[in-house]
Amino acid sequence: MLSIKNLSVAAQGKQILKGLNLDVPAGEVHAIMGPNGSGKSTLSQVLAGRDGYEILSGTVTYQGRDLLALSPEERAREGVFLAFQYPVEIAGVNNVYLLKAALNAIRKHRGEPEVDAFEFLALVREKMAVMQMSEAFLSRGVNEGFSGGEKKRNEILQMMILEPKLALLDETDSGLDIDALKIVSQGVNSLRSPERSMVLVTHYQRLLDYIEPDRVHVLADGKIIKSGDRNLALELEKRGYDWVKQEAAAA
Amino acid sequence: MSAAPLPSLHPALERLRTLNAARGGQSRPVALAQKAALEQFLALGLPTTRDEPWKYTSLRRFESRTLALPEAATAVDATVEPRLLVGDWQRITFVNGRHAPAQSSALSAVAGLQLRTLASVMQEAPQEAVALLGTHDVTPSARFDLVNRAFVDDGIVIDVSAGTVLSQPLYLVFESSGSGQATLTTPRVIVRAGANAKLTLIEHHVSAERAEHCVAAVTHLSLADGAHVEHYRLRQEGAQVIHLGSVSAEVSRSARYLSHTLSLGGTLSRLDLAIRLAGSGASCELNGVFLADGTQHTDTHSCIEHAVPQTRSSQDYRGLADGKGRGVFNGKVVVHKDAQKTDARQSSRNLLLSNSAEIDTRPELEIYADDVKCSHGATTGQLDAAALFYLRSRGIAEDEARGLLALAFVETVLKDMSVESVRDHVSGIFRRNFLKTQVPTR
Repeated sequence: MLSIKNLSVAAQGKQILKGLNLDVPAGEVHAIMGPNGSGKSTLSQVLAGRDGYEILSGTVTYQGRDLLALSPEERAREGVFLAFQYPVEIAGVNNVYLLKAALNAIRKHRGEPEVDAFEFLALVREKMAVMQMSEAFLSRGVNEGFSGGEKKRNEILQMMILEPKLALLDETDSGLDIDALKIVSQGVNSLRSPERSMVLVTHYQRLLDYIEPDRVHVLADGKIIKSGDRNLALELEKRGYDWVKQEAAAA
Repeated sequence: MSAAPLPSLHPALERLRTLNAARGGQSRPVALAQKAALEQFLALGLPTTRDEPWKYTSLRRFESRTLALPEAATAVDATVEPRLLVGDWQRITFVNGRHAPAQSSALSAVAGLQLRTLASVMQEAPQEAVALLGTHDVTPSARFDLVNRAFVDDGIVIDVSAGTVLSQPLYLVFESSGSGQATLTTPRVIVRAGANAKLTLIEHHVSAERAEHCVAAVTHLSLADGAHVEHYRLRQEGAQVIHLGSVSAEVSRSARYLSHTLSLGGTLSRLDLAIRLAGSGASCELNGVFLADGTQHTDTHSCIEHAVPQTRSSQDYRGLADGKGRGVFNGKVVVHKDAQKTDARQSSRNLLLSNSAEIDTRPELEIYADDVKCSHGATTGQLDAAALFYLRSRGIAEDEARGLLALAFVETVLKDMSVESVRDHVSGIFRRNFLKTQVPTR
């Protein structure tokens, strides 16, 4: 599904990713953990197509295509979805309008007709029930006046409606209390399927209690320095990151 | 020509004098008043960018245009009609400044509402007409009121008697046709709302795309105690139109004046709003949107005078400039010495959609009282890059995302328009302008 080879990226003249390698096969959920400033958010932003980053070297292949050659909207239409760490508030652009426009953009790209208004509303209502969101959210501006937790839930709601092939979740657990974390995890888990891959970028292993990853990677100083299964996350929780860094330095 | 030209007269003023002399048919009192207004304008001369209220707005485009007197009301231009609002309202249409009965509702009397064309008042009651033209000095900012006074031959006089509440808006349409001749049109609207009267007025200036008119329009409103007037002034004109308009309102005790302005199109446009809060408890709420595209220049000047204690004003203007367009907003608030407990708020937010566009915004506060609340805020920026990326990351094309954000910037002002069909109309204009396809409201 996603194959990153030797990716090096700089922002404002400073190199952040330094030869990162990562393979995420279809149907798998991978967690990327790492200390602050290791490049986790840069990775998700670069994958979604945010400008302002300079690709120094490396390739990103998504479903056999060069992902970095696509515009952000093309990536979205091809099935890449980024759940933002800090979802943007856009007053004046209606929440449900964005949902519908986004879904139709993807459908149009696939050569499908626009979604029927009635079916769309039914779909949105169904997913909102899973996310325990009130219908009042629909008529508001995109994320306008939402609390931190509401914004994160709204991201997952969008994801559930757009049904991406590759979901990137950037610190989706940050700022969530335990109840909200359960709801968000429930939403994410409902999307697990053999055709869909997910990359969870997170600081804490807490999220992984609710969304069980197939693989866990440690990102430090711009590259993946250790990979393992779920137990690696538990170990990191207990022992911190320093031992991994030392191990990597010794190797 | 009877009068010898002054040696220093600007060629544009010289042409105005010639044009004015070519008029005829006015009764003597009206002719004298108009001649006096013209002489006053000529003596004051054309404002230049050295005059503070015209600092950002050059009149070169006006000066270089040779204007003719408008022809008799012609048929409505076919390209104009689709731009008009649709509503089950009393509609009064003026074509090239003159009342067009065929395109208007009958001016029949509704209880409490009297409608007269200014032409009929000029003919039947010349002394009253002279009073309606006004004899007061104009401010340097609204200098073109004098041009209107000197040339006006039609318009509408609206009297709403005390206590009358009009349930439907009055729709005034001012059309400029695309006849090819650049003419000077000078419509004048006089509104007198009696005590506790309530009305909604929609003033719509619209032109054929090819029109090259110069419009010097004046609207004057007086609101007696407790009156409530909601005034829409929508300007939607062709790329070559010059529009130099002014609105003034005198707001008495506990009266409330609401103004919504839209400035779209025209090569050079200027709107002067002068509101005087003259009685305790008087209030005004002004908001508006202007867009300067291509090489358009649009200027909105507001001046709110808090003349007595306990008055309130709020202003919220949104400006957009694209291409090489230039927008100007100047919001002046004057709080007189005894006008304690004044509450005045002003916000001017502006969006530059291209690197060569320009917007100049300036608050101007003159406060002579000490117990007042006055706030102002002005911002000029570009589209929010984070918001743009967010929309694109959801599959929205860049152009469409830009359009959505520009529209969102405007929509926050439109929500204050209480007449739904006007709101939808204006929103629709921006949708067509910013989004390539017509999209549903929701």
